[in-house]
Amino acid sequence: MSKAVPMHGFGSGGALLNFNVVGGTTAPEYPRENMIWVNTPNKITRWLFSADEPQNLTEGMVWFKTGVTGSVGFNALKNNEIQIYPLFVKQYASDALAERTGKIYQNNAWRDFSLCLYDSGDEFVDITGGWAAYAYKSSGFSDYASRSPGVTKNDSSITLSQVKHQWENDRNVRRSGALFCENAIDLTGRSVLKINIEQCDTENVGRLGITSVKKDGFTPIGEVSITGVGEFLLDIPENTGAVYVYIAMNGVSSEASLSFNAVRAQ
Amino acid sequence: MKTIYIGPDFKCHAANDGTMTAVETDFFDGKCNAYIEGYRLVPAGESWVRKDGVVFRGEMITPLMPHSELAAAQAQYEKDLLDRADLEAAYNYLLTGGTA
Repeated sequence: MSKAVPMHGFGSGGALLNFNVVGGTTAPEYPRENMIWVNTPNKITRWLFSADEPQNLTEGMVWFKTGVTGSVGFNALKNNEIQIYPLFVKQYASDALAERTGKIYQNNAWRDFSLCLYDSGDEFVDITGGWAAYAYKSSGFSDYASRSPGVTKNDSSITLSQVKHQWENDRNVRRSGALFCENAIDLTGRSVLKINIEQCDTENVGRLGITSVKKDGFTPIGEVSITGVGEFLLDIPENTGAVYVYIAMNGVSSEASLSFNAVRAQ
Repeated sequence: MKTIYIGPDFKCHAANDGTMTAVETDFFDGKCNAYIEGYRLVPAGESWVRKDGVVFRGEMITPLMPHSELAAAQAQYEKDLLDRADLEAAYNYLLTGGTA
């Protein structure tokens, strides 16, 4: 497995670089290919591309979290090639890393980085409001009580667990509790929602979904079943707007759990 | 559970034209035909490739259009059901000479 090598920034970019980084609260008036715009009221003093959170943070420093794939990618060099996939951007301001939105100008349009909703312990509270479990089940099962799933959060993942249900022999399964993001998430311009499952101890343990309301009896807009480890994708139609993202546990015939380490929209 | 039918490209239908695959799901319980036919359902074990090449594994259920339009159709359907129930109640009341 390769180890990411941090790329340190120097001003707005060097002569060998195929991109430049600018900051501001409005989009640059004269963008050019691979210009990266960080929407920030703070001055960008330096920048860093790396998979891991930097340790030596200084005021104004911008960190671009990189992945092995992403919704946007670019070649960092003019004459050679280093392919970069920025996932999200944060800036160190007033002694804290704050979420920022990042876009890159490609093919005459500004394109969004991934919208991260959870990544390795980071709940992106500014965006999500945090993640919390509720005893909410989807519509159509008002005769049944529901249970909030157990939640264990650590530095790298969130684990949801569900005890055996009393209705284990019933064939319907969409009636357990769920972990919701507290805020509605604007998915305008996004086309896919992804979750990365790192542990799952039973088949068909849960679902990743979106809904317009966060309450018991909610109507799912869309869902994808979580059936094992790895990445699960949910198609996001155009004009979806602001929705709540949830990870619901199915009613299962034995104790079950799943762990995820990333949720993002692209 | 409700039986729906999926045709080409995993689009959902309320009725089978003879070429479709029947699928049982609780996702559409209580939903009207217009709501059902605004969805795509990729069954478990199958996958759908979107125009841009992204592969989605089943089971996945996702709307084909803004969900607000489907919710509006469903709300109208439920209002019509209530109106019909009110009419039936009134009709029965009259039939029984106002003693029901």
